[in-house]
Amino acid sequence: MKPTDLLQGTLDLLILRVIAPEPQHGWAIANRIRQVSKESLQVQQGSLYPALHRLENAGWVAAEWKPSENGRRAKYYSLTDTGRRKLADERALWDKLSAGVALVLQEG
Amino acid sequence: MRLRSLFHRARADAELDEEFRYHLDRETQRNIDTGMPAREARDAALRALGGVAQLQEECREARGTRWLEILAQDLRYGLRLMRRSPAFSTAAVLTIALGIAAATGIFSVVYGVALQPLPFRDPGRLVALWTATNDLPRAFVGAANWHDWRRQSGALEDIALVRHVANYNLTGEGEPERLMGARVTANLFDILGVYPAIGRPFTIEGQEREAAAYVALLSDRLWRRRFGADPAIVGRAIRLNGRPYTVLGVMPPHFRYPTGDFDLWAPLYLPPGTLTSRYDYNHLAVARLKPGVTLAQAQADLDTISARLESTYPENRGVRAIAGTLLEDTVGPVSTALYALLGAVGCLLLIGAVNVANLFLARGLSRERDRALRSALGASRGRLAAQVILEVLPTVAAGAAVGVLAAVAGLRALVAILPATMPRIDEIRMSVPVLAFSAALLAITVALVALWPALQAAAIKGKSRGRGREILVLVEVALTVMLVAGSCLLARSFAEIRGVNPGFETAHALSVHLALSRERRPTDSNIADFAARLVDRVQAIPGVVAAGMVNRLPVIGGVQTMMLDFEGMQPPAGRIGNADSRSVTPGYFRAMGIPLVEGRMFNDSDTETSKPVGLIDAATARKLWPSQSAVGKRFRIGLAGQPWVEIVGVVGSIRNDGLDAAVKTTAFWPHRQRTQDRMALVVRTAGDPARWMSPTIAAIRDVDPEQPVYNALTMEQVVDRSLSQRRLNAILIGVFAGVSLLLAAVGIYGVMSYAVEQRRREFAIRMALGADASDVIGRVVRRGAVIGALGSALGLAGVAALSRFLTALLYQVSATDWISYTAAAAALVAVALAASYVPVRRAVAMDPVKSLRAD
Repeated sequence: MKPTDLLQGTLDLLILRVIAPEPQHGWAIANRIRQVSKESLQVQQGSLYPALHRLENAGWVAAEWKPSENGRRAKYYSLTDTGRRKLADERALWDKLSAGVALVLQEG
Repeated sequence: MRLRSLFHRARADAELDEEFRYHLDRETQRNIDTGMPAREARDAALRALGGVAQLQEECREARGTRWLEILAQDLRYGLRLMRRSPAFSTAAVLTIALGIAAATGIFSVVYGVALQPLPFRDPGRLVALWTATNDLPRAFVGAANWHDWRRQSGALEDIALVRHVANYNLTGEGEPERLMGARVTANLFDILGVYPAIGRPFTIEGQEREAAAYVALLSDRLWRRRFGADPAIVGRAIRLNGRPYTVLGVMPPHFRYPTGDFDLWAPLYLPPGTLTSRYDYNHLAVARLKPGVTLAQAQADLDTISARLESTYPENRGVRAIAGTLLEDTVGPVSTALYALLGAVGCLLLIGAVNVANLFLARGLSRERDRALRSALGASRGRLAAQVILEVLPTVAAGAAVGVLAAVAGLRALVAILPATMPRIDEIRMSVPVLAFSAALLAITVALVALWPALQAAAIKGKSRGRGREILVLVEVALTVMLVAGSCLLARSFAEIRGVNPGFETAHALSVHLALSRERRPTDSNIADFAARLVDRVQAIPGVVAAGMVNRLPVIGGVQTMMLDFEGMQPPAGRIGNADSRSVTPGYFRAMGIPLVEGRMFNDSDTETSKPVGLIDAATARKLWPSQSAVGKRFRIGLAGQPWVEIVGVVGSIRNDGLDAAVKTTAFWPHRQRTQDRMALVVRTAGDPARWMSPTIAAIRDVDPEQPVYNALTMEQVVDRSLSQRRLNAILIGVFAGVSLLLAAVGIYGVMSYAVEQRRREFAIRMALGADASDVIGRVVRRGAVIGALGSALGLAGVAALSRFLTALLYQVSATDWISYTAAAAALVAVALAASYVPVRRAVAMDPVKSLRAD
């Protein structure tokens, strides 16, 4: 698996998780990731947008232009039903993966 | 979603812009809020986001429409390339146009004649029935058998009977005209599912009454031409054969049954009780299969019935009913020739495509680097192939467009050169299936032309490009040899058949057909008198050497055969099952130029009351009486109650069914003793027979102004027409062969030029070191000769493999005729040598030092 693949998959997961509770626009998502990870995940902000567009293309995320907090309109991304399922699947996969890695590390 | 994004690309881009601007503004504001000065806040925001332009590109790519845009770009590039090299483009476009025009034209003929369903209701379920007897594999249907088949058949819905030898002389209003009419049983319309456009058809309930009442249906063509498309024609009387016939209706415009020559339909009523002989085979029969029944099942059913009839009636011994689809029946004889033409034109198109592919390959250099780059950057093979296809598409599509236009425009001209005997000739038109075929051709041509360059692009190997072109040229040469060899075979066949002796003198003779109606001349004597008067009157024209009448002209067939028994011999030796019977006036043999071998010809003393006499042809006489004279022997028609006829003379054998058919037994009766109503008048003239056509017709009008004539042709024209299908085949395939030779020459020249160019340095060095120019030339020319020889061998193998199919088209020439094969191979090798010589000659003419320095 190429490094970019791993990162891409993880980024997708993060995005889906962040917009699960409520629709948010791109900047808010970036901000949220920054906040919640306590600044430890410095996701290159730029890579967010291609990921969002890709997720929209795949049908896991729906986009809508709405008025935002500062009065201007922004593109809000929300989770679709398929997206919700995808999130659950990716979450389960991630848990399995990290548990496995932890086990192996324990061994050593 | 993707498509929308593509079409609303501008809007999508604007939205992306807005999205990024929003993000940057929010991030900048956040930075300001944390205390950064405005300018720094903006810069920090930009840095955090990354390169906006690249991000926008990535977003666009994420939408999945990028590939469409790239392909659109390739298409535009292809168009630009086309405009930039007009000579190349013109050559390529014209080559493709030629191939596609020819293929479309030929296919529209093949489709219109052989593939298109017949214009009846559910035509796939219509079958034609014939009788197979011991003597004839295919004979017409007898009314007695028809009744039994109809009654006993479980597989056929119904069977109609058609008496198709029916002449109607239309007189009374305007020029007298002879029309071909068919007498049909009333159930024909239900079976075919076609009814008159105006008026009504014959009815089954009223068939007895209608048959007695003289009614008729007209063809649409006749109605428009002769009666001004007047709807009041229904119910009017027209004068046919001297009698008034009431017009019941007019058939729809595309109704053609049995063939396109028929303009009238009259009722045929054959109640079972009135039928006499089971030996009379003189009808056509058409039937409709019951739903769900296949042809094979129907044939099996008929076989059972035939066997049953055989055991019931002795006359039915060896008699079987055979069924075939009506389409096959209509079209069968010409389909082989048509498919051969289609195959030939397919070869031509392939050769053209190969040439154009070579042209594109030669030009591939400039794009190779670009493709290599893309490949290195991860472009998939599919994408590269798509790119090549799009580059090639504008040129090929332009060629196809020109080709189809040319085919549409030229279709009428093509139809005009088709032989008049081609069935369904008026159903040939440009139609949706033909255009669909052209579209398929376009796709195949694009694939062919792009194939090799695309494979090259995927492989990206420089050296193998030269080899690729050579293999293409080899294929081209093989296909060309096939066409040239085929053309030679057909040409030799045609020459052979033209050299066949028909048994009579073709030059200086003309023929005119007449149907003599019985209305004013009811008895055989009346008819015979009238015929004699006509002949005498024509004979009196200055310049007429001889004149006579016969019921059927030689060569064009028009079958009138019967079984003959010869006295003193037992069957099978003494019985000939399918002898041609001819009724002639005394002057016929002189008029036709048929020699008298023995005895005497008919004369005026052979009358209705004198002894029955006859003539036999020389070949039959020799076969039956090898060591004796036939004169004095007797024969008779093999039906009960027929009188013995004494042979008074033997005449030369003639070919009745066509120059390529076997010579059949011909027996002649004097017209007075066996009178026929439908005759051909043959006139031998002192000079060009065309000049005597009008005087002959005028003389006939003199005797009876109401006597129509038809099929007025010189005998040379008659013989010519019988060869028209073969002639057309030979000419068309000859043209294709010629064009393909030209294309092959161009192809070989191109490849050799390229090879010479590659080896220019090598040659220059060799010559500078003292090698002879002829040595260098020899190398290249030998290479060309090898290509020519190898390709020829492949092509000839191909022709030999098709020999079973080809044999049907040939006459007295074997499908593996070594003369044709050698000629074809020699032509190709010569072309290859010449096409190789020219480029290398030019190369060695250059000063070697200059050539090396030019690098």
